[in-house]
Amino acid sequence: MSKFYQNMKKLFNFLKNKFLPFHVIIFFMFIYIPLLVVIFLSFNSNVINMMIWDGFTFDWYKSIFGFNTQLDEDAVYLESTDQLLNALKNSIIISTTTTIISTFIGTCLALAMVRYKFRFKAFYNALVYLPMIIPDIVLGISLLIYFVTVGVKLSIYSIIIGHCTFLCSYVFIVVSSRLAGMNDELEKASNDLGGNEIYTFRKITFPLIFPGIMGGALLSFIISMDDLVITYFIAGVDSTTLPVFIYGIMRRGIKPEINAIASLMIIFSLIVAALGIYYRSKKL
Amino acid sequence: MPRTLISIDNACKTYDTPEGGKVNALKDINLNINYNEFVTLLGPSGCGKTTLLKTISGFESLDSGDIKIEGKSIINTPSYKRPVNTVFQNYALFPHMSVKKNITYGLDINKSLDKAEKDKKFNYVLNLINLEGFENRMPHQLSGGQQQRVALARAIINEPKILLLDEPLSALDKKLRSNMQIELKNIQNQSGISFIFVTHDQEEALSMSDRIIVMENGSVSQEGKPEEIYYQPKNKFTADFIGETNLINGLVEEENGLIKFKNENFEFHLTKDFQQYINKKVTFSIRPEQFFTNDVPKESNPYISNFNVEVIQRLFFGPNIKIVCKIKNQIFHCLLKISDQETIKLFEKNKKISIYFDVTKIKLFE
Repeated sequence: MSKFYQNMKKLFNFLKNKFLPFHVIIFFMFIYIPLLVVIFLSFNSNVINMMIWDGFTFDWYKSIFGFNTQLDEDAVYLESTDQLLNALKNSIIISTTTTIISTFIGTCLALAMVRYKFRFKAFYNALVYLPMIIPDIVLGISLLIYFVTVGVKLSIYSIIIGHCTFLCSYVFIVVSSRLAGMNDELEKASNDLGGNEIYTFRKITFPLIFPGIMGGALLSFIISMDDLVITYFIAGVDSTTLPVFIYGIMRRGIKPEINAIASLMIIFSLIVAALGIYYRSKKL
Repeated sequence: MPRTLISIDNACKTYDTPEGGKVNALKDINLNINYNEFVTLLGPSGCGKTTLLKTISGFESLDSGDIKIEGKSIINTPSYKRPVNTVFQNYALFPHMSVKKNITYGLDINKSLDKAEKDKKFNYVLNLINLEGFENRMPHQLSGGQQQRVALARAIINEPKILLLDEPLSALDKKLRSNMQIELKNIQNQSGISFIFVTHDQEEALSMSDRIIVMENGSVSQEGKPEEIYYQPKNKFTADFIGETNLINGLVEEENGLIKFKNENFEFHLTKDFQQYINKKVTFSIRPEQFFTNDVPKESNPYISNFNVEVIQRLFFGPNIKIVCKIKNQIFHCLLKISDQETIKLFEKNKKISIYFDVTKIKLFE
């Protein structure tokens, strides 16, 4: 019996030592290989089938930035570059505006919720979390019904309003956790030393929660940038965003430049995410 | 005649508990604190001492009553305009600012000072707290004691009329604490600021204060000089809370013209000074160090009484020895001075010994 037990233990140790690093490698491969494939294919010069390697080229990147290339003209796919660039432009406008608005509202919300006492606080707190918990599809449909009922024309503005409804919650969560981790005696100390509320906020509270605000802003930028489900419902005719556009032309077959766009977005997202992590991890 | 700096009149404050009840944090407190005085608010946690401090600093409001500084009511003044500064329990140093920025925080708000004056004041307090050369460090690069001193400097650089200290030494280890006690006392003497010091450490209170205010359940139990509080406790609470005390319940009776303290374990005669307690249930209090073992002939001091006790435990502290002993079921603690190794042998476990005390020095509480 004990021999069996010892053997089992040996086997377990063997697996632990040999297989665990392996497991980690497989885990990361599983996540990153699809992304690497996209980046790899963005350099493929095959104009007919983007899945078959036909040589190395930078042309797809050039064509995104508006240069005429031979490959671009040879491509058998539907011409979509203009629409694509328009969608990208819309996405950037929407994400930037949404980030500014929701960061402001979310931060104010967090300050109110964490620093002040009032009636029904727990109830309001739950209300703020709700947009994050509700399935995107439900939020999308209800926003659509609301906009149509109230008479808001579907456009970039309706998307901005729609995104803000749930991104405020994300900012709120990031900033409020930062605020809760901040000793409120610091604000009292500033008050005690002669600083009024505004001075205290400027010199103490804001600098200390700034990493949280930055983290929340970057998070909401990324979420707004790649939101598909909600945007799909509330996007108007001229206000297609990049994810909605890509989704729409998937079935029609798209020019291989989509790979180049995707690669650029991956790199952009990684930079933003890294910045976000850096700001959030900054110590109090 | 000391002049009154701050007077607290009939201060009351109640809190709502989470269970829906009410707690009287302050019950009709009346206090005067003088210029250049080191006053300690002493009491167990929950006695209202921190609440009182917060009402002075402006972080809590009073339900009723008034607080006056130099005769002017401050209860409607926001905390940032009060001539009061606080040293917080956990220092509350601003983590994103250097030592210098922290210390000059109060001066920077007040724009009327020019740079030379600011630097002069800064150098003065830096010298006072003995942290020259540390001005560019960040708070997290300082030790606990250094942080403590920066917090102190940050408060006194504003030259407040009153400095409030909320258990500022509780986070320090014992050795550092006793050094800081001496330093605090020195700084108070040099700066001439009135200190209101909150603590639950009675030794700290006894060693540093000009005056101690003992608080219990939101009211003042007793106030006075440290030695008065220690030797003349007015009630059971003070006697028990300050220092170590033997508290023994019993009855005072008169028998053949003599007054006696009596309970089921022992009895002894009292002097005529205790006449008022006749036929009353009382608690008798005696400090451990008020016992002695030297044979004093009864004739030389008629007020010496003695107990014959059995030793249960002895604890050796160096200059003193603590003996836990009993008469029947009554346990006593005695603290005896010793100066040589031989004496210790007299207090072996289970030995029967006599301990003596001066009846005029004991206290009775109803």
